[in-house]
Amino acid sequence: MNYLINVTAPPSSQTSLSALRFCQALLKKGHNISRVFFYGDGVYNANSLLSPPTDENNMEQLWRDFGGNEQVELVVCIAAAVRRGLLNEEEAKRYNKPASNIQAPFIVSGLGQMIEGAVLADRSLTFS
Amino acid sequence: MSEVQKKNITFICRHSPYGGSQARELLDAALAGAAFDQNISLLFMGAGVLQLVEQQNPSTIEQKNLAKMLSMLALYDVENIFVHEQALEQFGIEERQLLDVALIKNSLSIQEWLQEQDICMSL
Repeated sequence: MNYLINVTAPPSSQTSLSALRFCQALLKKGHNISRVFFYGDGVYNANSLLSPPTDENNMEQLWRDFGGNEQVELVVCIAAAVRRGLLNEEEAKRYNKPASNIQAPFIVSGLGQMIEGAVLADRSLTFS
Repeated sequence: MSEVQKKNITFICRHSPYGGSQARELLDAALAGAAFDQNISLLFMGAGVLQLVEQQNPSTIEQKNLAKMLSMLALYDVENIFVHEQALEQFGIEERQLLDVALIKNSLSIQEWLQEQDICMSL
C-alpha cells in the first residue's frame, strides 16, 4: 500500500520517533511511502542545528538518514517552517537572514504537496 | 497537480482558535485542499467549536481574527462545515452565538459522514 505520513509533532516529542519507526516498519513490510510531510511544529524535525546530548536521539539526523537511505521524500512545509525560523539556503537569502538550517534530503515546499500526497496515497496518517 | 483525482477530505478542527497555531494551520491546509480542487469538508469538534463563536475580538491579545479565514471558505466552495452538537453543549455555546457557516450535527450523523470520506485529517 502507498502511504503519506504527516508529522506535526516536534522532535522533543516521542511521537516523532514513533512516526519514524512506523515508516521503517512500513518499508520492512513491503509498503511504499510516497512522502513524509512535516507540518506545524513537525517542521522542527528538519532543524539541522539540533544538538542533543550524544546519548540521546537526534531526530533531524535520524529522519535525514532515513530519507537518504530509503529514498523517501522528506518535505517541509515552507510557510510553517519560515515562521518558525527554519530556512534552507534559498529562503535564508530571500529573508536576508545570517544562516540557514535545513539541509538535504529535506526539501521545502507548499501545502499542496500534502494534499497531493494524500490524494495519491492509499492511506494518510498524521503523527501529532 | 496534474492528476484529476478528486477525493472527499474532511478536516477535523479540534483546537481552540488562539493560544496555539494548530487551528490556523489546519484551516490553511483545508484551504490548500480546496485550492487543489478536492471535496473539502470541515468538522469542528472539542475545543475547535470555539473557532465558530461570533464576534471574536482577538486584537486584544494581539492575534489575527481566525473567523475571517472561515469566511473565506465559501469563496473556495467549501460548503460542508459541521459542528459537533455535544461539543457545543460541553462548552456552553448556543446556536445563536455561532457564526452562520456551520451546520450542527450529532455524534451519530458525524459517524455516518466520516464513513463516506476518503481521508480524514487533523493536526
